[in-house]
Amino acid sequence: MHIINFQGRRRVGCGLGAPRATLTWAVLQVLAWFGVAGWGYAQAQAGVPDAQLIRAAYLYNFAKFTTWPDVPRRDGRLSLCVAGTDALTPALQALGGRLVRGRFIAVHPVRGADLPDTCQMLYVAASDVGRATALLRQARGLPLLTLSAQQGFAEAGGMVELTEVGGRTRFIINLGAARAVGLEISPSLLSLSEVVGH
Amino acid sequence: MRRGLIFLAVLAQFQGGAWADGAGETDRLDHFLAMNMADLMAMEVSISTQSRQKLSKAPAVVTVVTAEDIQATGATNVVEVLQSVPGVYIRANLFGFRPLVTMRGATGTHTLLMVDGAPIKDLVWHSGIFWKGLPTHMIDRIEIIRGPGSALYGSDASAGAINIITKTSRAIEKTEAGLRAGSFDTQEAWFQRGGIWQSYEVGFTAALSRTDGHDPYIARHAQTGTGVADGPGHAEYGWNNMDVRFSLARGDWRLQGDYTRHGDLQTGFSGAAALDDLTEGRDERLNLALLYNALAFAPGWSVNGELRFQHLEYTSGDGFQERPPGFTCAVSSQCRGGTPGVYADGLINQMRSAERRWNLELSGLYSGFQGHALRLGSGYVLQDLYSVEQFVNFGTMPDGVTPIPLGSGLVDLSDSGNAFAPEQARKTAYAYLQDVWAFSDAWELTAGLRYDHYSDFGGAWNPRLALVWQTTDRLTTKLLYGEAFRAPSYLELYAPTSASSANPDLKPETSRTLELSFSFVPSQDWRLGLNLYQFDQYDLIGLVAGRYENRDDLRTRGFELEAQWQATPSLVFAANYSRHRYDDPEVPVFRVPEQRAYLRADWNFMPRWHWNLQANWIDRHELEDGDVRAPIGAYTLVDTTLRHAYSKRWEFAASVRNLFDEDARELSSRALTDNLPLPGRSLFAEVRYRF
Repeated sequence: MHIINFQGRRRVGCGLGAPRATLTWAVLQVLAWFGVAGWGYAQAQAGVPDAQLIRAAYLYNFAKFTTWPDVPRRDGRLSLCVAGTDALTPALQALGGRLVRGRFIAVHPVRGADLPDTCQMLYVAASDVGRATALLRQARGLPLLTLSAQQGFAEAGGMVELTEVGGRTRFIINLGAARAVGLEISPSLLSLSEVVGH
Repeated sequence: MRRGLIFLAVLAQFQGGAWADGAGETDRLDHFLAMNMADLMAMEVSISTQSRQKLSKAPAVVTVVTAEDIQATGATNVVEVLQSVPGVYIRANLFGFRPLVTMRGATGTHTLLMVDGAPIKDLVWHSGIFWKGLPTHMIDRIEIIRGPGSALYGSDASAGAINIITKTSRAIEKTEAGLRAGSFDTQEAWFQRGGIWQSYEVGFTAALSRTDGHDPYIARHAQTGTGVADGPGHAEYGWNNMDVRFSLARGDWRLQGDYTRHGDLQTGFSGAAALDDLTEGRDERLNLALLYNALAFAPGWSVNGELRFQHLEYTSGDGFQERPPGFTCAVSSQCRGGTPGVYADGLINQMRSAERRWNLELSGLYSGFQGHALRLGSGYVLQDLYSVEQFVNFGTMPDGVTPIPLGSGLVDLSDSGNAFAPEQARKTAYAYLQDVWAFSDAWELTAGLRYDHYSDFGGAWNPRLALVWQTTDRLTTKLLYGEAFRAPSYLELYAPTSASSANPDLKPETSRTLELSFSFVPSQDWRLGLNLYQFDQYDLIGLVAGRYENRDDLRTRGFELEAQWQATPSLVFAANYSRHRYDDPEVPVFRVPEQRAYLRADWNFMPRWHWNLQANWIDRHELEDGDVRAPIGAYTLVDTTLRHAYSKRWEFAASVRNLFDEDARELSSRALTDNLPLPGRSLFAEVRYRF
């Protein structure tokens, strides 16, 4: 901040000018303590905000209200594949090991260009929306529930698009895309969503 | 300041070993997984910065505006967004064209305005000095509570409380850079970045902007007819802005800070409503906050702690030029007790002040009693106006008696009893208790009480009661009662100006509000709301023979009607209408237009294309008794915005505000015969790049 210097009359002792060195020192101390040396994304093990946990609970409910055409895998798991990272992915990690309709959720990151054939749900995170089209093309014909918060995802052939309306999470379901691969979505879920593609 | 920062740094280091390691996250996830889908869908709205609850059951009349809403309307400043909220009216002040946010017919001083939980008001003028809103791209959401909020927030929340929540790491999912340019030679650039680094959430936003202002043409003003600088002219309203914010969070802790600076701010007019093309003021504000929020602190307990610091200072630069060069002071009362005669440099009144504010608050929420959520908290605020400077070439010497001789140059009144405000601190201690009692599935009773003790004028008790009845699956009914108060500002208590003298014996203004509110969801596509209120204000402070007194009581009754219709999956309409009436037309308060209507349409006519149209209708202004000017007719302002997400990286928008170039005016000083013109048609274009 500026020291007000008025016509050479006097320096005003207000403002942050006087303790500038202290301010710099204090800011450096705080930053050093936080260990802020660079930027980047990594999966957080702590401090997942409520808003993302709530969104993870949405995905949990989608799993609960969707019936897959194939019999459950022998290992009794429901595979949630996650392509890319965004604010939601740490919360999705926390879903791992939870039981939904008798199956444990297993969370797998999607690395490289290929989609693992074990996936039953695929979440396309913000960092990978560029790959959404390619991933959807690979998923075509597979009984795979695809989800993303990318705008236009449902229109583009994705099945569940998470949106934000009036501060709350809403979702758009492309019913045609889900039915085309034999996924049955419960009417109780459909009644709460915007439905396209039917 | 120095001690404060050292304390903060030491505290931060001390806390290093004591971070929560994410404990409680599993519990929170369990809690959300146990909820059914419909309840989840009603969850994601926070009423205060720290708690989340179902909006329709909130024990108040609440509106939440999200970042997406804001982006759709093309609003560039938060002030434009607030205009869309029922019951809110933005009054443009002629002095610097500053926005005064009024609610339910009251004045701006009865709205508690906060940014990230920190009040923007200042000790002397109460308006936050040169506060001009906030760039919209920095905003995550805005929470607007209509009705009394003093039982939770303390002073000022008589007509309502507004909390503007800026984007932190949690809301910035991508790095974004943006540019905006438009009418009035306005340019703005911004950058924001957020991310998770190891287990730290880091967020940063920065914005720079400048504008020449809409510089309205003023035919007649306070100098008109005096023979000196009395011609028509433009009121110059240019200013620039710098706004930088950061946040660091881990586990239950968060550190956030911001620095804002309004520079080269042209006030357009002097306080006496004479055109002033000399003054370019500046204010600067620094906020630091250390926040702690543990949802599972102990069985049944969640705990919240806040330590906040604010530094605020301003200068009038080479102004304020109260009267132009060549001004003739015919009698000494025209130059504040000074020497009559011709002032070759005009009346110059240079002012600057600096204040700091500390606030420590601790609160806890206990949910161990069946059906009850008990919140209790207490806090302490120290507001210290520690530097007041004033230099004048008119009026009286520091002794307050001897007239300053003509042509004496500037006289330093600082540190004298004759300066515009005393260097003085105000200390406030407060405690509150609130219980939400869900005594049946459909009924919830909220009862709260807060006590504030002010070092300079005593205490205030403020209760509130809210009965929320889930009448049917589709209808929620609320009956609300609350009391509120407003602490007098230093201007009213201690600071004589050219227009007023102060009164240290003032009592706080108080109010009582009774509200009945319905929210109805007739079908999936419709939402309706109706609020009825009676708002009684007591001991309103006003001028009696030039001196502030607790002068008036006033009853205001009104209602607000809201509707939203999802016509097709890609087309949404929203509308609201509000109306109020003052019971006693003799009470000479500022009269907010009695009716206001708002209509908005949002249409995603093609994938990636969004079109928004909004119209704001403002009723005519009532004039005070004895005001012989022509009344200001009703007007409608129409804005439209087209937005296109060209790719995942690029987004473009273009916006026209006041599309039909409506001649809209704000009721202003009587010296302005034609009142104060609002901006005419203006165009803006914007580009955003994300990576």
